[in-house]
Amino acid sequence: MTGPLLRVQDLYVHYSTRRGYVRALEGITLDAYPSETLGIVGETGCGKSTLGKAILGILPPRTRVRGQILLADVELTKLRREEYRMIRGKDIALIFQDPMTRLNPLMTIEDHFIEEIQSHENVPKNMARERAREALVSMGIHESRIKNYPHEFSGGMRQRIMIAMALVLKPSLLIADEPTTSLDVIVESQILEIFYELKSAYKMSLFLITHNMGTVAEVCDRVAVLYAGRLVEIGSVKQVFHKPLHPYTQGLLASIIHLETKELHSIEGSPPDLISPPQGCHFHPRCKFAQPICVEKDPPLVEFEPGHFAACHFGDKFL
Amino acid sequence: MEDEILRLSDVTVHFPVKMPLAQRLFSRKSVVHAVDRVSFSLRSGEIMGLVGESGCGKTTVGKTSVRLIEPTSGRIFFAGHDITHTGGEQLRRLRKKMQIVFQDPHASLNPAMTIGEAILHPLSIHRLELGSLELGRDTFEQWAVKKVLSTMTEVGLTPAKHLYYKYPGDLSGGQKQRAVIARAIITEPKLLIVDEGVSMLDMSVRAKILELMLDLKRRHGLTYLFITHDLATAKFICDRIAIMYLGRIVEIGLARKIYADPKHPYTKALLQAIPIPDPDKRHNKVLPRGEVPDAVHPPAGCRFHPRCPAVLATCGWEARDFVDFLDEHLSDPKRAGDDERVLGPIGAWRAEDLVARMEAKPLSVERAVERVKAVLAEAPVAMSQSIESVSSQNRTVIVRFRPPAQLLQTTVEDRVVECLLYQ
Repeated sequence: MTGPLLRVQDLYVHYSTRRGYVRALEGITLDAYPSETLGIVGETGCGKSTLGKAILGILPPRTRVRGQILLADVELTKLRREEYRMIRGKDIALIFQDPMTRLNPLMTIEDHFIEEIQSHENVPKNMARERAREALVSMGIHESRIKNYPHEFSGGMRQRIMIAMALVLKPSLLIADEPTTSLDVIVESQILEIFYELKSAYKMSLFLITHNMGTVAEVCDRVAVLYAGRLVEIGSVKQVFHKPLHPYTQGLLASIIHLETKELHSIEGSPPDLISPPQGCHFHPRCKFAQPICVEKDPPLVEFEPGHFAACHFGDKFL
Repeated sequence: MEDEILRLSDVTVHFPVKMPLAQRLFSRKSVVHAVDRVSFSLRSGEIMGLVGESGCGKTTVGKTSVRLIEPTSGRIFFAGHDITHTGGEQLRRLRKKMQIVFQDPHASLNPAMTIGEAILHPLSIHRLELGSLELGRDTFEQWAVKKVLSTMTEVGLTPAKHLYYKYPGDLSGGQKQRAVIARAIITEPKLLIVDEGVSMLDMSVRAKILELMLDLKRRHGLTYLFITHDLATAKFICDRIAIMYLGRIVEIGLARKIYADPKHPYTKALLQAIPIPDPDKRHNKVLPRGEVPDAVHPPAGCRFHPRCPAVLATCGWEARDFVDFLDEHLSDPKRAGDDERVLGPIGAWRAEDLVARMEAKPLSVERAVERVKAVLAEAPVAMSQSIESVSSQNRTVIVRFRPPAQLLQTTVEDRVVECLLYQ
């Protein structure tokens, strides 16, 4: 299949709160292809976690959702709860930042696997047990530990267990929400290596949601940059890192502190209130290139070079 | 030394492990070896980085330096005075001069106090020390509020009069961290310990806070102990750094030199592991295997030895390492073959310091000894070289290790490293 595996089309997600509707996502359109790793990058409040939850159908009740999410040909937004539950885990799997929030402290790792497998497939216990063992060993965890409880593992091992559990049903799409943020850098590198090998070994798509650009550069094929609920730029990692077209992406890349950093840079101001975001381009109050048109008109997502899109009225100036 | 602000001398911090009474009656007392004989000193105006991963003891060192945690042994000196056992009134007065900023601004600020109240708080605590000279014609309240407003302005919390009445929930992450810093500097300390001061902030905001810290240092002659796991940030801001691993400092010296040419294998591993934000620079990394072990039973000799890519035979190999290796070996059916039958189950092996033993089944002791030697052919060379003998006694297979070499702090190209490679 060469067409996209996942199509998000004009997705709007508004959370209902006492102060009004929080416009968490506005008009998100993007495609994900089989066997690719797509980075979803942005800072606090940009909507990246919301995007992951929307795809998984785990948004809180009374959230307004408009637009389409198509997995192969299935329209996810139209599914009933039970139908979504079958897809979740089997076709799309999720890994969180802190595995402890997903693992039941009173269940052994083996029981977690058996429950996961048996709730989606009609498989006898001993076969489920065997698959569990295989999955764990493939993640570098001794099968002798299969009867341990989550708290008996370190953070890095719990994350491996999460990945193993996510993969045991061979999903076509894996969404990882900040999977290495709370891990130390050496353990993070180990986990990233696993991600790197996953897509070729499993022919799976991986959505890597993170605020860490270094992680994106290491592991991703393409990257989507979100700001205040909008998709501001998307392209291959090389395109976006070497030739960022959107001023926010430029600011974000410039503010990364790495081993060769000589000068510190930051972006003035702070992200807007999503209950009443700015008119037009959401970034204009902080943008040093802002012009009147930026306030008047929402910048459309334009393909400035093959495969490289940006939502900026002046994108071509940075080509 | 005259301008030495802080000195830790052989500081050790051990925490008792909480155990139910029944367990305590039957087992040896267990402690978490959080910090083991750590020594370093900080000169006035210096920024020293304390870098390492979770569990290395860096936060414990930070808290112990300001006596939030009591050291189990060792001494702490502040501006030349031994403060290890200072207490009461004297300690309280001392705390004005040494402040600590923690990583989570959300947790550090009382959500029921306005920003102004929070920043004013330390002044109330030290109120009794103020004389008429400072107060002038103001009441304490008038003087304190003025001081809070000027400090807020200094850290960039403006408009100060407006933000004074806000609650932490109204502020952004960056603003909260500024408030925490304001609260820390309002007593005009000489030493500021910053524990992961920017780790929880968005990247586009970190630079501003780091710039603020540098600015405050220049203006007030502050000295910083900058605790972090983020090597890139530490490189930018620190003059000297100390790399910690499982309670020990493994390398310490000028930041510039250590980053350019790291000596300790752990330092090298850490530097290599940092993701580079450039897709053209994806590199193959040689990562140490496994994860940081348990601080209750740290490895013998050099604590990094079980994971070290450059490990030698004398680095601290012990019975535990052999049993772990055997466990891994037996878990892999392809490699193990029928070794499990002869050498297993792994639960039959006992490891105590340098000796590992197994009670063999009758008539197969000799076979077990031969099998152990065969299995060792596949073990890391350094480990098998450190085994003195594999023998049998009665019905027990005994694997005996040689004692490790003594690990010393060595000066190499103007930094100090604790590694046998350089001794």
